[in-house]
Amino acid sequence: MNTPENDDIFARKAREVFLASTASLDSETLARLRTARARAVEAVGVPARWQMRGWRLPAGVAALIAVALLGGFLWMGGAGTTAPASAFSKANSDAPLMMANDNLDMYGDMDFYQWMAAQDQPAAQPSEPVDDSEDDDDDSGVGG
Amino acid sequence: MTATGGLLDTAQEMNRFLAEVERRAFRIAQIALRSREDAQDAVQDAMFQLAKRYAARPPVEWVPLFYRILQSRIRDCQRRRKVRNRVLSFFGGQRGEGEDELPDPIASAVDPTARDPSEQVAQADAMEALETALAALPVRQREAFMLRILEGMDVAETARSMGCSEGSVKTHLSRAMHSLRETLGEHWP
Repeated sequence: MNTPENDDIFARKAREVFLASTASLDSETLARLRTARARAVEAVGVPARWQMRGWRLPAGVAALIAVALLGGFLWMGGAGTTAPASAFSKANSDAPLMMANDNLDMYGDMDFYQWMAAQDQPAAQPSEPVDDSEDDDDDSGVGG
Repeated sequence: MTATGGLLDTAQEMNRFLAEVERRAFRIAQIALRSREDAQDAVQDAMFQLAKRYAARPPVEWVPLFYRILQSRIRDCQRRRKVRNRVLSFFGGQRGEGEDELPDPIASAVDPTARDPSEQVAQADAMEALETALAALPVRQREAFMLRILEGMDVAETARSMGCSEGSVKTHLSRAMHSLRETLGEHWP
């Protein structure tokens, strides 16, 4: 019959028999348990040391990298700052050209337009085309 | 200096704890696994994991933590056996649980220095009957009985070790007691 009292008696007996069995373990098992315990106890200090290394090592490496980057930045500072500025100013000089609404093909015929501008100059200034026109007249008379 | 001293104290305390618990832990693993070698491996691993991972925890927590790791190792071993048995049965040969090891005649010999050999033999027989009955129980019932009754934990510690609620522990334990008493009979031991 399963009463709480009977359960208690059964549990006490079971524990008594079990504890008796632990008292008569063979020597090989006992030696193995001792060795396992010694290794485990040795491992108690290991996590602490490795935990210290665990955060110290990355922190040291990170600090070293930060110092190297800062040093590199400062060392390269002069060239680093002027180069982009000069590049920017060069690009900036072309900006009006790029932003204008003019036809960019016009800049390819710049010599022609310079010649055209020269035609608009006052007649006192010597110029080749004037002579050319006279030649043209002569040519037309011969032809007529 | 203080850190080293603290570490030394923790190591000493861990050593005391493991020395106090190791025999019972081994027998519990052996009952569950029915193999001395596997039980030794499971206890060794549980000891190492406890010391390595949880030494910084308060010693009060070591008991449930240790047995939780041990139960996990026992279940891992049982799973490996199932896989191995399936593979072996697929290739034609099959070995049952715990059959990979015959009892060592010297190790299992009765200690002649014992005060009462007949009493020792009677207890060994009773333990053997209890082990056989425990082996027939469902895993969770067996765990509850071994931790609560054989190891002597309270319900809360047993629940933490098993990773379940206290109510579940009581249910598993009640069923285990009922089955064991039915199997072993009124006159056991």
